[in-house]
Amino acid sequence: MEIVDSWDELRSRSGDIAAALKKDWRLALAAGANPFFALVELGYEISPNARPAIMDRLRLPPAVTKRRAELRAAISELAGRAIDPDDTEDLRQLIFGDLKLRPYPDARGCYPPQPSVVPPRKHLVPGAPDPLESLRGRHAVIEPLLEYRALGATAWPFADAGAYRAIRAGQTDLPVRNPRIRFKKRAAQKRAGGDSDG
Amino acid sequence: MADTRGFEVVIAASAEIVRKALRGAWKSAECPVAPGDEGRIPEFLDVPVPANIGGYIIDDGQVQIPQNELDAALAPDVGGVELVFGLHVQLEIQNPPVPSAQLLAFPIRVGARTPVGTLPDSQDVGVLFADLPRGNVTATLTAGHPLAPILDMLLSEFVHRAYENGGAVPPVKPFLPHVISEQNVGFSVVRMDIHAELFDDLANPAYRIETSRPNPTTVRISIPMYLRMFSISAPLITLADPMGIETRLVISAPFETLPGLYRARLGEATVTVDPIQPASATVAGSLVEGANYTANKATLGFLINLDTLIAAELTNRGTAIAHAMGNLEIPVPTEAEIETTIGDLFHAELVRRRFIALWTPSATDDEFHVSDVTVRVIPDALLIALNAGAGSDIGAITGFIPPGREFAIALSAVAVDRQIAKALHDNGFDSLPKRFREDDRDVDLNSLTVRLVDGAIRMEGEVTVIDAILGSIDVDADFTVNVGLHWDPNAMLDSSGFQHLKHHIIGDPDVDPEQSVLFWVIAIILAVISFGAGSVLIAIIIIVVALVVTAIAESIGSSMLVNGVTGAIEGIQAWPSDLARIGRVVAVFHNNPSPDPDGILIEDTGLVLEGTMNVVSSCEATQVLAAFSGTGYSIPAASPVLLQAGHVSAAASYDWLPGDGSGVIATRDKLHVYADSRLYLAKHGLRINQPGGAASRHFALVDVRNVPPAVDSSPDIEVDEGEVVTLIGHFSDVEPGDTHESVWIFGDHQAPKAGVIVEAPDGKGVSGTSTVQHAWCDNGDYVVVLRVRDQNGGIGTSTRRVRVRNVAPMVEAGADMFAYPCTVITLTGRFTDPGWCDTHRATWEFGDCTPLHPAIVTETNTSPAARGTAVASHIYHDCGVFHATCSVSDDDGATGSDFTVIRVVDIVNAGFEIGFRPFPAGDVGNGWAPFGALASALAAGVPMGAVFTCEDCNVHGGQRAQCIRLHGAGRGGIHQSVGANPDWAYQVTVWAHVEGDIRARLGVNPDGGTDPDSAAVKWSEFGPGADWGQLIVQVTATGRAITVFLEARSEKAAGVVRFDDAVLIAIQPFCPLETPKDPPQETCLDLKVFGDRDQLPLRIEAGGYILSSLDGSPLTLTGLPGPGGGRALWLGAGGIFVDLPWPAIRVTLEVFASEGSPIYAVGVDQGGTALDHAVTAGAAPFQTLTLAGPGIRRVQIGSKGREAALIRICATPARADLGDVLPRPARIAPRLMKGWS
Repeated sequence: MEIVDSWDELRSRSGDIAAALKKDWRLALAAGANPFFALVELGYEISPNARPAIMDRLRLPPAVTKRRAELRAAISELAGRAIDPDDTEDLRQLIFGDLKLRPYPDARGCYPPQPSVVPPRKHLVPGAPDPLESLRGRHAVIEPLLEYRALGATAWPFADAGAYRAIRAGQTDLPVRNPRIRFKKRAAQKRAGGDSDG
Repeated sequence: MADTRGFEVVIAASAEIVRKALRGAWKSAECPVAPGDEGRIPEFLDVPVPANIGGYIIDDGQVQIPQNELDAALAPDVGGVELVFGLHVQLEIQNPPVPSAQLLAFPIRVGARTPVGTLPDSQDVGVLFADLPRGNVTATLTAGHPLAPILDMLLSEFVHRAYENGGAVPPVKPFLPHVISEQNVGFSVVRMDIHAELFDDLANPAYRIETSRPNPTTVRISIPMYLRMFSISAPLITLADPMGIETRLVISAPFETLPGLYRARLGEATVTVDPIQPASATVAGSLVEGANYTANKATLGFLINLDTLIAAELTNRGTAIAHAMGNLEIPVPTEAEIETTIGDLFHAELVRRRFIALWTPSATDDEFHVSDVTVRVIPDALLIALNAGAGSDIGAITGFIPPGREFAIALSAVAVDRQIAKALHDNGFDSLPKRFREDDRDVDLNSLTVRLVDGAIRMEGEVTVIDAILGSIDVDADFTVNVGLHWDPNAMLDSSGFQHLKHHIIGDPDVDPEQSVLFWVIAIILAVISFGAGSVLIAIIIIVVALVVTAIAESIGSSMLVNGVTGAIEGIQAWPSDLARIGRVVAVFHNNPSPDPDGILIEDTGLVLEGTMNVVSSCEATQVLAAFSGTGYSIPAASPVLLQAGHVSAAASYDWLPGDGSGVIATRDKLHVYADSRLYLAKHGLRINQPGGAASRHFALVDVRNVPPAVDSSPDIEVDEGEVVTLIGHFSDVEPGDTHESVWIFGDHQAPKAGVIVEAPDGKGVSGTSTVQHAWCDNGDYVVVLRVRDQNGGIGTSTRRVRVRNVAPMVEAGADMFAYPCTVITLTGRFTDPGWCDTHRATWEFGDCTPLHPAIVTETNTSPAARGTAVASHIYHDCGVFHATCSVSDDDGATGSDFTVIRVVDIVNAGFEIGFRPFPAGDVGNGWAPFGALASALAAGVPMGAVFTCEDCNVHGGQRAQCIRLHGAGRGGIHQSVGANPDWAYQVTVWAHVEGDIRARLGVNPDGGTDPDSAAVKWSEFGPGADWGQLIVQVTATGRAITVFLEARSEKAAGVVRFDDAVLIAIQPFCPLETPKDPPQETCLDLKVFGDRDQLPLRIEAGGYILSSLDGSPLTLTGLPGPGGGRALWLGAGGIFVDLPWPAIRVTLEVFASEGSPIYAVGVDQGGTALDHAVTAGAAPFQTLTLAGPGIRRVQIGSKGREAALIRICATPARADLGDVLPRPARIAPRLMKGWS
């Protein structure tokens, strides 16, 4: 398994990756749903430290990626320990376990149920507000957390493992068929010069 | 299948559409919006009358057509539909064969096979009636013949009517008699008279005729009856009299159900008799008759089985009754006739209504116009094809209405493709590539096609995502998006009343594009081509849909909802919203579940829009409520019944027509009183007082049950036996129209009698009296029953007790008589006893100190009195006067007596031994008187006293003889009268001795005259002889004495005649009259015998009676008032004579006097001597007069009133054999008075 520790390192292998995808249109179609799973199939392993940045960079423009990195740091600092905001279990422990936050009571003094910690995602039409909005103001960590999650929902998400396997196995009837991969070497070189941090 | 075969649009409507239009047309039947019957179906109909149905006239009728019984089916053979109408019909039949048949109520299914086409002068389509052939309309009784379920009731009514016919005068065929009487009926060794009554009292199940059908081919008629047996006689056996039983005659006959006819073949009936029960007090007045029957049955048990004998006899009688009724036939309309009548009626109604609208775009849009409209009906759809193109062929179109849908609209692929091309062009997709940006990436649309495929509108093409991966990898991909169309809302309208045709992407049913498809690069592609407001798909498909919707709406004439600001098509309606002359259509499109769960049917040949609809009447809110008068009513006559509306509504008004001649009452519930029992037809009306509300009617049979009369036979009475008593019973009946008959049962062994009914309305019904005369023949306590029967068979019974006192016999000892010493005399006493059932014993006491002597009694015991003789013979030994007394005792111990005077006489001094006395011509024996001798003696010159001398030497016996000496020609004699009884024979003898040429003579005058020259004198004589000789003469007395003459007569010579020892022997005649073998009986003349004649000659003979007018006017007949009718002879101003056929001892006259003036009657004998008279008393119009006397030959009847008439006269002949004393021949003197001497 080849370890990938950064975005640049991954980009440097884009030619190989494109060549591999060309050979298997199903894999290419599945990679269109979740490139991380496709990289694993191709023998690449993203190191845990690089994973958040690479995932954001694959989906999001560089500026958004950068801001999300700042927010992850701020959240950990405010929480007093390292926090992965995209890890729902880690987030649930933080909010409801460590900080014991709960929404504001309603007009009758009753407390609503605890909100879901699953992050919002991009929708064809504007989606519902982030469930953690009900905790806004309850703790300083909530504000950066809400911004972090909102930025994450500005681009289409990666498919989860189940959807990936279904697409990979041809078990879905996607309207998109016969993907064809074209690696643009010149564009890759250009980007490598101007977008090395991305 | 959306192949429109060259038409732009084809509308396929199922039978359900026609059904709903039909029901909508029904709902709008009376709608005031554009009023009129055209294009509408009635909710209710009145049957046009008069009409004919199977030979009967329909007086009235109504039809109710429930909405849920309207139906429709497609009928390709007539190019249209078969409409089905479930009618509920009620017909009132005039003069029905039986009451219940006056209402024919039945459901009937009417089918009309009629074409569908464009309505005249329009492009609208509808069901066409105007030229509907009669043969295309059928009517079928769905529940069979309407009378079949009530057949048993019809038979019961028919039999009941036959029973009622039996009460008419004369009975009307067919009939069951109410009363049957027979005399001298033999049951083995027992003979009796019988009185049988058949009952049919509907108010009393025990006495009601039960008619049933134990199986379909047999009718069973069970008739309750009472049999009274009286005047019972049996040799050597004494039986209780009267006796009575009750049972039922059960007539079983073949039954046939023929077309139009129900027939019971009573001519082939067999009869059985139910178990015989002793008569109850209910019918017999007491338990006596029943107990007598039980006792007699036991008495005769050793010899016969009385039950079996009576049952056998009743079986014979019942069979005769059944056979006499003949076939019982109830003609009714046949099912075919009923169906034809209703078919005719409804065909005319449909033709008058011309059409029913199905698809009327012109009603929705006045400017609607398509190039052409072609209509065709195939087995599963009515096709309306619009805008024919080249090569169009409607005949090639097959049905395409999806299951569960009511209509479908096919839009051809050509038309759809035209709209797609227009949409691509309008959005610039006819020039590619075209760039999009999504998710901060550029996406190029390189190619795009949009077309119809089976199941979708398919969009295919190719895109390129620039720098899709790691900023240096482009991804090219093909895409295929199948787009479906669906309705929003599905199968319903939105708040605006429209539906919207919307698109959706057809994909993996398991994929939720929000969760499973929109991932990263794939999402980018999909967002460009199919998702999101800016996608290619949205840009095109919205336009396509709008164009398709417009095409549909414009083709079928339905409405579109257009956004007033944007001009966008926002909704559509599935059917032209207005349906001419019915209302509106609420139609909705449905998604088709087959190719795509949420879409309309898309095929490469076009689109199919499917839907369902409801037809909403312009008067949808108007209540529909049919009149319902109930399932029938049953109440007693003169009792209130609440005729109640069965269906009620606050919006309704009502009326009732009770059917008894009273007027219409505008009320919901009517409390009504029916005066007379009958089956009435009450008619109920209901009108909904809302716009478009309909008026309906409904008929109900009201069974007003008969109420039997209430009877009061009046208080108990005491009378003498033999006394003719007038019994008057009173009755009342709540039904003023009822007439009545009555029967009296007197509790004795005599026959029951019909009473004379006088009745009149009294404001509370009718009341009247029943009058009868009766005499009981024996003393005792009797229960008298008066049974009054109204013309419907209802029975009222009342009893009264009559105590009959015993009356002693009246004795007539006879006229005074002469008797003769040592001669038998037979005395005959005659007696009568008004209690003619009494038997008698008698004695004679002869008055000469001899003991009481029993008499031989001969008697007859018939009405009106027992008559008989008491005979005893006796010998008186001495002369004298005796009182002989005859005493007669009846079996109840009462005695009557009479005496007669018996004078015992003989020839005085018959032997001349008791002295002589001197006369101028000589000495004449005491007791004798001389005659004729004086003249002859003087002529001979002999001294006085020389003719008659006492001879004391020449005697025949004893010491003396009478000597008569003639001295020459002449005569001389002595005579003596002796009391005699007419008709007796008397023999007189005398000894004589003659000397000389003279003759001795013995003469006897039978009439007692003393003139020897009377021609009546019978003589015997002889001449001279040596010895004494005996003269003898025998005569039959014609008077109360005979005279004996002893004479000597000479024509020339002198001589002597000596007379001695005269003897008188009386001989009483004894010639008993034989009883005639066939003695004449009472005979009656009923004036009915003259029928309906109004006038008779001055004198007319009938039945041995001779009727004569006394005032010179023709005899005039009149009808009698009252239910029994009858005829009577006006007595006129001078009255009438009735000469009887024989001498009668009793005459009864039934007379009528409407003015209450007395009617008198006088009975006279042959010589015109009045024997008896009678006069009516009181104001009763019907009375009976009785005359009695020996030998009545003529009756004179008259009245001072003009309204007096003779109804019936009966004469009982006098019979000598029964001791009746008849007038003697003229030569016989009238009966001597007692004390004659």
